[in-house]
Amino acid sequence: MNVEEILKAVNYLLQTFGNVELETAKTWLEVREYAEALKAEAEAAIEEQENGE
Amino acid sequence: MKRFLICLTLIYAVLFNLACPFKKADLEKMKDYSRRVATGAHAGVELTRTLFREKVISAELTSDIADGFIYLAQGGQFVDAQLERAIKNYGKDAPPDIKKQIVDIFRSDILNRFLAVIEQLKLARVTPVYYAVLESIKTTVILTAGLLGIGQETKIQIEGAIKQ
Repeated sequence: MNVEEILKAVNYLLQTFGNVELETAKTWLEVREYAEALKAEAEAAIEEQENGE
Repeated sequence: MKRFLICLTLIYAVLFNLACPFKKADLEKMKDYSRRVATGAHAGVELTRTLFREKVISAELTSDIADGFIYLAQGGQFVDAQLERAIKNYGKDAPPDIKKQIVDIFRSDILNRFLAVIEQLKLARVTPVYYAVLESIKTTVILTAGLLGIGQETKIQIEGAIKQ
């Protein structure tokens, strides 16, 4: 990662992380489902890349 | 001699701690902390999704990081279920052997899995980006460990893992 990318991510974090406390607390089930959905999205992108090559 | 006395005191403190019943109020506090750790982990997944969608991290790395959070969430679900069972089964304080069981599952299902997430982020060299998320989870995991009488060793383990 270069400095610009890190700064972009940190800016995102600063803008959104404050809201985490204000949001309703999350359950482990929600974390698991969210992470599983993200994994499926990433796997689909990998498959797409492989098919495109 | 001084070192021997310190060791003896530490061993005594651990044994004394494990020999005491586990207060119901502490079990309930642990459940609350578990929820806070879950909220921090959720923010970690959200950050990963943004980094992936903004093409800051690759799909392969995203998948690996998601795996780490899935594994941690499964551990969190198991710990919550055990805490719920202990609260339900023991009207007042849980016996010392229950405390020992909870210490064991906290180590295997929360602490070690959180350390694995840190390791994963370190290998991908993206730990600085996750700094706030890791700090948030770290603080609550240490508070939980404090209730179990293993706060200091947990703090050393996590800080050592982040620094390495």
